Amino acid sequence: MSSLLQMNSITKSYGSKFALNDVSLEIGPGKIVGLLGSNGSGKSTLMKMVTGLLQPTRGTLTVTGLPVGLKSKALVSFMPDRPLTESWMKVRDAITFFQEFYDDFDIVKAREMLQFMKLNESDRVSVLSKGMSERLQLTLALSRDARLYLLDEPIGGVDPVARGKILDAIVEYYNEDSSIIISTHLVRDIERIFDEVVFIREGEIVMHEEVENIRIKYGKSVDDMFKEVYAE
Amino acid sequence: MPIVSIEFDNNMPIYLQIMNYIKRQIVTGTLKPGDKILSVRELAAELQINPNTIQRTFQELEREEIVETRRGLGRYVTSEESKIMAIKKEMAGALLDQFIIGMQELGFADQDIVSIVAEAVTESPEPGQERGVNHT
Amino acid sequence: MMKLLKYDFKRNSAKLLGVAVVLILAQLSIMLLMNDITLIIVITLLTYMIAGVILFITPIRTYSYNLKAYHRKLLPVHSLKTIISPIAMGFICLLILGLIMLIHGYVYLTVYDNTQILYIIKTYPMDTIISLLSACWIIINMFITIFLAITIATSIRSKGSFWIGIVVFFIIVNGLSWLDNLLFGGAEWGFFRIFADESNSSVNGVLTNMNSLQTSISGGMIGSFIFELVCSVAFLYVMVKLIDRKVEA
Repeated sequence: MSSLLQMNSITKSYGSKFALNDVSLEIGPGKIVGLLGSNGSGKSTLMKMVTGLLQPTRGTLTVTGLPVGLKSKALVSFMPDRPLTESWMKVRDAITFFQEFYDDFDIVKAREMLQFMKLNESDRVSVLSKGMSERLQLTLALSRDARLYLLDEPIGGVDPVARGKILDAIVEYYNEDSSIIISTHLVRDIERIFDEVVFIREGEIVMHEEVENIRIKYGKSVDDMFKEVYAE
Repeated sequence: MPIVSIEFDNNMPIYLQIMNYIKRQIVTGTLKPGDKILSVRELAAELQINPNTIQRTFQELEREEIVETRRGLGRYVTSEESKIMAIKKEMAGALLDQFIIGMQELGFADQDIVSIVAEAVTESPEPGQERGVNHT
Repeated sequence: MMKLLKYDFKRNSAKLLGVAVVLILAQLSIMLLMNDITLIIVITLLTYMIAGVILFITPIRTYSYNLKAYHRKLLPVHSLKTIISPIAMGFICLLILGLIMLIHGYVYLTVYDNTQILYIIKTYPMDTIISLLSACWIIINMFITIFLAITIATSIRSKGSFWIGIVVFFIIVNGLSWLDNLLFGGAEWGFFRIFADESNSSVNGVLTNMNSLQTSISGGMIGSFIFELVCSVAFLYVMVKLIDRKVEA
């Protein structure tokens, strides 16, 4: 099967500063991929480029062979670091918004996930706590039957209980033909749900490896490997 | 298959740890011959582990003929006693290796080790039998 | 398009409702509390003006918000719809306001007509219709030009992009007005003249183009209209390209 995501020598620069520098990356279907790096390493930039929020300065990028555009947007589901909702909305309105604009939105799955996440349809999104708000974001992103999911720091600012719920949901609700890319700097809590990890530092990919291989080859956890790469 | 909980060591391949865990469950009788095993998805969600890792675990277990897939029904623990015996031997072997190395480090000669073990077995209380190790 | 329009309306519903309520209350209090007829006319027109300005600014703010909003940019929806939806919202709101004003004006004029306005309108019905249509066109044209300036400003990732947008706006308006003038020899009509020619500076008034009564449909006017139409289509094209390639969230 062809790759879901293909990035060839992608560079993104702002003046003389590089947000991404000559990044090439290929992600196949059916994978949960960890995009690991500290803040400002280029994780969000990479995700925004795949979803069309940012344009590459150089290089080519395709999703299932398609260039980023209307067709690719219909196949990619993104959970960004800021709300996908508007302040007037209730949880119910947010769900309706997604249902109306995305043909692949699965309302049954969404209702199930709302219940699983203990979210109330009549709650206003503007009064949700940070943890609840992230749960809603995740519900919206995972309720689509997309080919590629991009989750930007899904467990960033939430308590351990919510974190467990979110990991559960990721494993339970993703489907096998698609892939998920999860960016995080909290490696230890989440490393066991990854197939592969991509280490990104100062806009460059320093390692792309299967996690079990890291454990077999180096006898190390991904977390230790991560610390080693960033300690240099 | 009962609700599971494993303390994982992230420094070792996860699929091996789950394999060992399932084998131990079979050996201790928590999983009986012919029992149905949780699906990949169920076990992945239960353990919060990557589904492909679970898949790999099952493939390895199938390769070792400890688990068998019945088409359309799911995965089952093998009913062949010999396979289960093989696991027991394998696990006993690992335990013994560890034990003998430890004893040798303490300076015991082979004969001393044998007599110490014999003594310990006669003194050990009944529940030890359930461990299944001392049959071999 | 209709879906985007629905959500543009929903986001602004509180504000739009507020404008409507305040407008009604203001008109009621003017009717009930004031006697001086000149003062009534001035204040009535003033409240309509203020409402018009708010209704004109709302879609502009909506558009510039939508350009940067993740949940809008991520939608698999053609960029042209992103541009047209707020314009449609603004146009519908101003149209409704215009109709209310017309009815209000008509009622007022039939009750106390001490001017010749109604008579003039009845004598030159074509001119009246053309004036109204031209007001509609001016509004749409104005939105498109302002949106273009916003889109250009948003495409530029430097600090003074807001001011660049404003400068761009005046360059476009004056440049096109000059071209218009050059091509069609100063027909007293058209949107681009508004900013270039101070004497003709009302935006949403229905009674704007009183002086166009003298200018019936002339060749210059049609040429000017076609010129503006072509420019608007070109602007829309440029905006779509900019949104797809340059505007980043």
